[in-house]
Amino acid sequence: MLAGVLEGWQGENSLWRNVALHERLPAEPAVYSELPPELAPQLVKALATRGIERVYCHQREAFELASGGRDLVIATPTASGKSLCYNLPVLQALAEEPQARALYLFPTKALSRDQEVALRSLLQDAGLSHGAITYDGDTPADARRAARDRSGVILTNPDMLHTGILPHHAAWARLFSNLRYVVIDELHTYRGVFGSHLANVLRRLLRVARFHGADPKFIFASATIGNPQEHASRMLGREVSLVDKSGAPKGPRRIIVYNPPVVNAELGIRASYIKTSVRLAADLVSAGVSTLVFGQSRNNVEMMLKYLRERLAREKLDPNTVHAYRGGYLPQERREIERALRDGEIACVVATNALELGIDIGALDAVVCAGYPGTVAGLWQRFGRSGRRGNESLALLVASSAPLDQYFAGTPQSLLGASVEEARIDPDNVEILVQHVKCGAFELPFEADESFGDVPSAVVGDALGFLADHRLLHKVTGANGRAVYHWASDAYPANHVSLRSIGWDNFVVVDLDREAVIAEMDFRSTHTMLHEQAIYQHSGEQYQVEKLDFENHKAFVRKIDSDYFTDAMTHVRVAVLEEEKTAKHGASEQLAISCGEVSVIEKVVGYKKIKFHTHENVGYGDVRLPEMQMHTSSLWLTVPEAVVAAQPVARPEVIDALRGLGHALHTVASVSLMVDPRDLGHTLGDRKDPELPPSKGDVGAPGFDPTIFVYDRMPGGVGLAPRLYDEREELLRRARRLIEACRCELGCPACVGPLAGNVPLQNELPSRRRIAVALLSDLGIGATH
Amino acid sequence: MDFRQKLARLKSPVGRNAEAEPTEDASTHEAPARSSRIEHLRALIGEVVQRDHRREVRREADVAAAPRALPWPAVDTPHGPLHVVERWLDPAHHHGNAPVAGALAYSARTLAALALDPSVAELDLSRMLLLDTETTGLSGGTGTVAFLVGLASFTDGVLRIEQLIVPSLGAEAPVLARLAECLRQASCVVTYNGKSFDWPLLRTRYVLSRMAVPPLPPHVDLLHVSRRIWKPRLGGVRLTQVEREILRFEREGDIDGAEIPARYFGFLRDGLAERLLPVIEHNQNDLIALAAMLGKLSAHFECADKNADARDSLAFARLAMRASETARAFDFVKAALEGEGTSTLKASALALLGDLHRRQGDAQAAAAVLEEGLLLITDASASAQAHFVLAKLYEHELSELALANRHALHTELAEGPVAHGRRLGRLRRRLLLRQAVSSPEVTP
Repeated sequence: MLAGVLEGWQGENSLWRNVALHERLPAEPAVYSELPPELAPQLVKALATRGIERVYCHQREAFELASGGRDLVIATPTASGKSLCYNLPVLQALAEEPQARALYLFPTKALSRDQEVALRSLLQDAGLSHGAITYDGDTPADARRAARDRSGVILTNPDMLHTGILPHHAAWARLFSNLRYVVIDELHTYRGVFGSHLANVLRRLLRVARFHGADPKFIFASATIGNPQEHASRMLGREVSLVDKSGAPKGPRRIIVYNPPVVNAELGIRASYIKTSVRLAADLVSAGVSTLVFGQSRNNVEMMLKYLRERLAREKLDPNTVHAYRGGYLPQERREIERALRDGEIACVVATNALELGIDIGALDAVVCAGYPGTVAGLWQRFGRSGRRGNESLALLVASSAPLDQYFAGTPQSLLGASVEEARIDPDNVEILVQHVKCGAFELPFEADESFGDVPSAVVGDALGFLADHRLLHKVTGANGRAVYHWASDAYPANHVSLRSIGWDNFVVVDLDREAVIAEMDFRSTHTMLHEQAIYQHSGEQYQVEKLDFENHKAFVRKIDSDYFTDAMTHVRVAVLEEEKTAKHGASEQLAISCGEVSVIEKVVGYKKIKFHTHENVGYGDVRLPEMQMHTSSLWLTVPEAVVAAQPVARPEVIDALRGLGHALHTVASVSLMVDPRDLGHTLGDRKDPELPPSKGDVGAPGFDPTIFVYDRMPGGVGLAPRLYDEREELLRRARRLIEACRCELGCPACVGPLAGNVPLQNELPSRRRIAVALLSDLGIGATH
Repeated sequence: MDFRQKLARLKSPVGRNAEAEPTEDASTHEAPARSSRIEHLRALIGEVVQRDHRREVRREADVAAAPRALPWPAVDTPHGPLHVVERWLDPAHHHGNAPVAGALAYSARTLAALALDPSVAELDLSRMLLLDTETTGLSGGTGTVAFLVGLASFTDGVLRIEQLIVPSLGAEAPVLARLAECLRQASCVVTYNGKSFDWPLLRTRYVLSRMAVPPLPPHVDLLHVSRRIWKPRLGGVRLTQVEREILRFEREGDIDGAEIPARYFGFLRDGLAERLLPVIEHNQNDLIALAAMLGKLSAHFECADKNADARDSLAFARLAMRASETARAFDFVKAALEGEGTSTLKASALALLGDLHRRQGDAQAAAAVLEEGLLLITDASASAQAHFVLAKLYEHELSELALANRHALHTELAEGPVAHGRRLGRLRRRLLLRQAVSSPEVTP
């Protein structure tokens, strides 16, 4: 089976020499604890009917903390029995108090409904009459009434809590006045903008619960991230205890990182990672190894599904043993696939995201990741799906040519030892905070000296004053001199606050043929994905944007059969607003590095048409859209004119190399901060004259001090830039190492970025890569201390 | 950069499609308009009926009161001052063509039938409480305040309007307490859309003020009745539409509902009570219309008028049947048939009549009537439906298999091909059986 396949691969020299990493992880035995002695007899019985006589040590630990009245976060790996960690204390509370209630939050409807089924089953086995109902947009009217009046557990999602429950909390008085526990699963998915919004929704939730006389305890469950305790504590605004030692057993595992070989050395192009992944997965499937394949996008999933089936058909195997697992499947369909997997009818599932998988997908013998999912945490979550008890399992990563993939393929040990990304949120981001103070005021009037979660009353007061100035709130001063701020508008604020974006309202995508809204998109993505003539991909189908009604936030699309996709070209201009810290660097102290507040203006100016599969550029188009402006924090490096002039190549090439340096810095910054590269932006500008766009023509002018900006892409900033500033020396060293060590000739996406189309390839002249290294030397930045 | 500076940089927090800025209307109060407003205000407050009750005539308001003081007198209550606008109507007051006193002129049983609520049948209608609120928004969430609670009740046959006003946000307790008292004394509550809007909102206000939610007596929501009766004819049943078309009352210069929240917020900011006058007038009209409508509905229900619009008669017939008021249902169907109506309407009336006969066990009469109706139907699916009902009637209640079969040939549209096939098959078998058993009958 698996052993046979591995032997086969090891025997194939042209294959095995591309393996960058082959590591064996030993098995881990289970660590059990006895059932808690105070556990209600009905629950003991319910567990017994499932064959559970003992629990894992972390499940016991979670129970003790929860029933002891502590907030906690469970951060054990995938498939370690986290559900029981929170279900058990909740059921205990229900068994002890018939009136007790609990609220469960899940990021997707699919997960809510899966958990609802599991919970109902437990409740039934325990003979408890409390119901468990999912309350979301699909819940019919009579079920909603039942949920409000009678249900012991309400399962919902952050959006529903935000717009449907909290602003109507008077109708939910029974839930809130008896609320004992709030369970928040998949905590690691709540990061960035979404996470910052959720933290504020929780601040509102606590306010409402307090009004109704309750003091619920929070139980968070998270996949492995670098900072679960810090993240949960920041999310809740108070200290949260940590449970992270998993008692769940693990079979022995092999980790393999495969780097497809270079097929075009000049341009640094490698063999297709998709085709490689398919080949390797097919080897496994034909040998009877149950396999889970992860792709980066829907397109990739559909492609791999097709190729896998073709390959199996060629080998006279049943192509239907391979199935895609798409988000949006009904619970019934998911159950069917899971069952078929368990029973061996399906041997292989192709999916995009670990989160889309139901809780009962079980474990498989092998996981193949086609491309690095962007974060170490994401990688281990996917890897965590392989490994049945006892048997050896395989976790395989096939690297694509993207920078981070190549970074890890080049230094594979760093992958194993890599700290898992930290989840970062900024609940005090001004724009987000103000929106939620607004929603909170609709829910309950604010007293002038009230705090909001862990936001001090002075700050809340400022926000209230701001909202009152805009006539959304009305200040009433009582006879005792105390001021109260009341909601003073006929609008319903929660409808205009999207938990997934900041400041700007979403656009809706309207299908002209069906005359229906098919999707919503946030403001920023609208510029890059919904400009006129853009090819918009939705549910595996292509649509062309015929008209973008900017005023009314509507994009009108029509289905199209296209052999190309579009890639927007964005022009970025950064201007320094306030320099907070600065330092000189390098042996000759010539490089100035600073951090502070900046204004970032992004403008989509055009788009490229790129053919599917071959990725040839087959045309360009213009885009006329307004600028998007935001304030955020940034790191910047200014290279003095003298150093630029001293380079032995023409000025435009030096500037081009500096752009490459920016690209490299972006890559190493993502790795060192352990953030998704999309959370950062970079550009080359001039810190002296922010009005000058750094187009290739003007850049040669004297008086232009080339400045590389690496900025935080979240409006207001989440604290990334200051951290980069603190690590600036190490960052530069790593950037140098990255560029020097790259095996490409002239430059590639892995180091200094893809080549600009109009710089002629002349082998005699130094490449962008080499110029970048020379610059770094001149600035006194070495690869080591 | 500190928080305040960051706040200053923010764009307006007012959402894009949302929150209309409260209209600036201080400038619209010119001197001439003001004096007529004063007159109007006096009229509102001063309309009093001299009765020998312990009710005092409210003194006229001092309109030149300082800002932030409501011109209506406040009564001291344990919860704080309660601002009330009171108005007594003349006992013969008509709203359009309907007497307000009509609300009391009919039986509780009639109202119970109209509302399809048996619990109303034994009530003392003279203690009914009419209720309509004016609010700061339509969303009904916890941020919506009922700043004006309009109540109306009868004392010795005279309608007294009592409007409770919330003078500032956070000071709702006196209003809510008075409302609770009125609810306690009422036999039933009558509203227009109160079930979906006014009452859930008021319940929320009690919860937010930390006051016990008072129990609600039987609740009659005339919107539902209005829909059942007048929607077929009018298309829509907004209160002002019904008021105009049924009661024939046209409001002059009525404030647009969408402006009402802005009026209140404006008043909160600058204390100019004049802003609220149109709202108060609007609310009074709503309450009076409610009483008049109740009377009109009851009057019509108790006496089927062949001169009434046939659509209304048919609607009343359906309602009467649902309420198990069979005699009335017959009356209304007859009125519908005798009135002027399209053939489709008559066909529907006949179908209903057929239903009534069947319920009374008179299958023969039902069949006759339905056959008559069938001749009037032009629409294919309605025709199939009629054939369907007749086929069943003839087969199961009248044992006229041949006739049943004749109709069964046309029921496919009504019951689908599978059921249709089964019906035809069954009828054929039964006919053959009958032929075999007894002397030969005519088979179609």
